[in-house]
Amino acid sequence: MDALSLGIGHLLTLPVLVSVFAGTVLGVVVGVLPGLGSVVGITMVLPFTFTLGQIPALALMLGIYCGSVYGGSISAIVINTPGTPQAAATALDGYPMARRGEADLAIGWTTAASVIGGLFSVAVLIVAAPQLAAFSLNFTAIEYFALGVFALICIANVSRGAMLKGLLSGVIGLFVATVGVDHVTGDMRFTFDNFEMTAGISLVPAIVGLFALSEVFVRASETHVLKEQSMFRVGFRLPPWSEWKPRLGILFKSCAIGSFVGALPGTGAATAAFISYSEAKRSSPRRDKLGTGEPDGLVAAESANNAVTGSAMVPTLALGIPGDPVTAVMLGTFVVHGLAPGPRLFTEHLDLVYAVFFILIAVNLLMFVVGAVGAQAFTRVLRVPEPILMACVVVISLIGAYGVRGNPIDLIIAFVFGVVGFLFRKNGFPLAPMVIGMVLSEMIENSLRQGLLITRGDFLAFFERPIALALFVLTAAILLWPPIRWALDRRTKADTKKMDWTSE
Amino acid sequence: MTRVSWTTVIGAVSLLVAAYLFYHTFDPVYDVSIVTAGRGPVFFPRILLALMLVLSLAVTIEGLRLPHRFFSGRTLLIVVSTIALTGLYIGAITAVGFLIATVLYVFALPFLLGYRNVPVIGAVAAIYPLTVWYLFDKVFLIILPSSPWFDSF
Repeated sequence: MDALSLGIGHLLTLPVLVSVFAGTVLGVVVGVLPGLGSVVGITMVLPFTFTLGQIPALALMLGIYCGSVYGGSISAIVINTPGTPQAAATALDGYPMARRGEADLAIGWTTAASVIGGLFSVAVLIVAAPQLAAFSLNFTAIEYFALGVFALICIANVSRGAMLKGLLSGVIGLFVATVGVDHVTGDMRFTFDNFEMTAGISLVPAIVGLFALSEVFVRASETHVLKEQSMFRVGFRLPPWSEWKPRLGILFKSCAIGSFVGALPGTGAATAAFISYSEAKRSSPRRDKLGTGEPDGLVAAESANNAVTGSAMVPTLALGIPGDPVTAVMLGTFVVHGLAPGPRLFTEHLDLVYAVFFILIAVNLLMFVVGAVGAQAFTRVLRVPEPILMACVVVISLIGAYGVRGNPIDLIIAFVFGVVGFLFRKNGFPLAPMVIGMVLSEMIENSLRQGLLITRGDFLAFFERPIALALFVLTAAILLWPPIRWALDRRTKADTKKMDWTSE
Repeated sequence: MTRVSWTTVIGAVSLLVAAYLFYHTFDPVYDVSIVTAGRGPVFFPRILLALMLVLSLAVTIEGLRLPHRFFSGRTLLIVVSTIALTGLYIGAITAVGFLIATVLYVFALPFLLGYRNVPVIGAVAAIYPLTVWYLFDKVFLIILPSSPWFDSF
């Protein structure tokens, strides 16, 4: 009870309330601007968190996270360009509604569905995270090793059609984090007698480069053809209860889908939105109208993508394992602020965990007010010339990279990762596995070495523990499934050809 | 003549880097510590580099089937110039100080990216860097690199 009241106490302070408000508003703005996703948004506010306390910093980050997932839907509706990939499914019905002159109603549906999805996922977080943390207290180094490998493979695997590239990206991330001091023996690794490199390659400059700088380079590489963009009069109108009633089934089903997908490593809000949209298309009584401006599509996509936000924090908070780049950056920020997410967070800093719960509730409620009051104003942000915006993004992001340690080498690291990120993005190499690899590297290495100490150097003994064995089996299944599917497809095609030939 | 794809180039570079670093792990400097059940500091990196070698080779081969596709002409020039300008900016931050370097960069980048409204760019290049510098350097006390010519910035 003490922790609970402390958690509420943390929320009800001026710096935290201001951070919640500023984070939510900035998050919506970042979401509205096409291309600047949640990761770039969080990277941009990173320098501001250096001077804040732990909880206001977290409040700012969580506000940006939830706000940006919602904000992307506004530009999807108004200009048919999703501000973030998570809002791509929203454009399918949002834009047709806007063209019918119902942009205000579309924003009303979107805002309400987003808030309900977000609150649903906070409930999932409140219920699931402590249980998972308590369960994981039984984990030894061996289970953590198996879990780390499993999470990384999941993330590489969802790089559709590019599993090899995803795995390479993940392994590069794991390797990059080994540069510097070996935490077990204290020896230097891959520093080549360079003093600056002894501190290693820290996560924040790498993320700044991979996401913020590479975004600018990618924009520079895209030939900008001015398209005729419609900009509708935007307002906010909530649909009546009679309109909601027949859609409650879709709403709660989508919330459940979003929460489930969000808790899985490697899947994000965009995946959740499309799965949920497909499910609505399969099961909705109004499925024939989907894609023509049917609110079912908005409800399905928006409640699902916002339901990811809370549940994605479940493995991040309870196990210290991020599920996507956004939660990886958040985890990095936790560490910058002296907190180590994982089961011990729940035993040693329970008040802080409760504060995170209350902050998420506050952010989601505030999102409704911000959406209702500011929808019109947010669309004006779209008029800022992109080249000016890009210059501003570079400057503020580099302060984030520099400010963590005040070391000029971090600026060089950010630049190198920016170029690498640009080349990777342009050639279909996913960046998420690299970031998650960097985050998980220390945990995977330490748990592997500790596990080998426990088993006296016998790696086969890792397979004798049931949870680890189950995770290893799942990892192997994920790795082996693509070649098996390829072989099966080939066989099916060959059989079909044979049948065609015999029938002729 | 068919040109190789960028996937192959990235795979090949990664292969070379991994091969060199793998070779480097046998350097006598890493023989100093054999704690943790006989596994020294390069035990884990060596596993990763071996994986990197295999995956890089696979990606290099996979890339051979892909068509060569990258930028040409004006787009290539803009991309290379943007990367070069950002590199110069980063170098200039430590050489001439954050504020001066940022004013120049904020003026030059939009211009390079095709936005030619000079009064707007000029206004942004004057106000934005100054605001950001003042906020972080003076209010938040995140000390940014200063120029060698002026005490305060």
